[in-house]
Amino acid sequence: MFAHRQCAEKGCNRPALSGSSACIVHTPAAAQHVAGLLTRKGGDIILRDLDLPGIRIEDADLSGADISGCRLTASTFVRVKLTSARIHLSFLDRATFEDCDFSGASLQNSVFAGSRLLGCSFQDCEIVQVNFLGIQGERIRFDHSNLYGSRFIGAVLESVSMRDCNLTRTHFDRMHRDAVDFRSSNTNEAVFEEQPA
Amino acid sequence: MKFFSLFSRLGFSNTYLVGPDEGGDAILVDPGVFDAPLLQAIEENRLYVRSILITHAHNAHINGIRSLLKVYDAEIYANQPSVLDFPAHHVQEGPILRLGDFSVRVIETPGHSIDSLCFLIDHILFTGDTLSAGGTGSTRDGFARGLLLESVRRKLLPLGDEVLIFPGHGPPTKIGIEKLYNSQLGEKL
Repeated sequence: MFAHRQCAEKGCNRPALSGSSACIVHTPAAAQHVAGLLTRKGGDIILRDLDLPGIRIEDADLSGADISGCRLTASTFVRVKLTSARIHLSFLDRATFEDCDFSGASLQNSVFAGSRLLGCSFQDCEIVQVNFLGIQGERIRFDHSNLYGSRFIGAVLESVSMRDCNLTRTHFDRMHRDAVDFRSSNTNEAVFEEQPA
Repeated sequence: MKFFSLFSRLGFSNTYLVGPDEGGDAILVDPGVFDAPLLQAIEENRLYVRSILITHAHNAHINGIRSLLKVYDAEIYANQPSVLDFPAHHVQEGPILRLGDFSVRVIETPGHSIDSLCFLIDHILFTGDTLSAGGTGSTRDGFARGLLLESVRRKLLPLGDEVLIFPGHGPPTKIGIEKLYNSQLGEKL
């Protein structure tokens, strides 16, 4: 897990994709390579301990997928269905998510920091200890989710709904917000001001 | 490498388990609690806890040691000669530790506590309470604050943006992320 392999192409310092000696740019037929990894086997999609930085997934059904120990840094997800997915110990930082549906998913100890999220749903999710530092989020719904211990420090949120959420130990320090709806959520147990751990 | 992160509601702290893919001698970082999920992760993966790394000897990070040592014959590595009255290898910055299949670099980062250490295994950095996602550990006074910030800036940030950080509290992060979004690192000394 989290092995660090560099692209074999001379002069390239991007990380290599799992199952390839080269990165997303230098892997021949990279799209097919990635599609092969996303194929359902016996009805399940299981992505474990994979390095897939910089990939693009569009109009895909990854509902119920089990994604753990993966690095998907700087990847792009457009109209991807991740309902009831399990995303644990994975790095999805500096990624782009457009119109993705994570409803009912379990996200734990994962990193979305620096990502751009547009029109995504995280409703009815378990989002425990997830790193959302510096995300840019527009039109996102987190309603009825457990956001325990997650951190939105330095995030920029616009038209975001966090109604009826558990915000215990959720950090919002230095967040820029416009039209963020916290109705029926326990904001008194969240942290809005910077303080040492 | 097998890697597990376990959360304790007792001290709201993280414990990490690192072991070889095929099972065998494992490393446990900051056992704040020794509970059923941790025991299950160890046993189901055919691991044996041989080494316990302590980032600092605050209760939230060491409370599981007593029970652990009743089950596993493990050695403790900390920046003091004993932890909870159990003898420890007193480690400081210096030669790389070789623990089972893993090489561990010890980095001294005093500030949150005088015995604070970080441990680097491959590209994985265990920071205890020195550095977490968007924050740093509490400090007793301005001098300690200066020590903490100085050690983070001089020793941790240069390790590389893609180094993965697993802190004692809160979610994981990366060096590159902290450089961008952790405003506490920009504090003047």
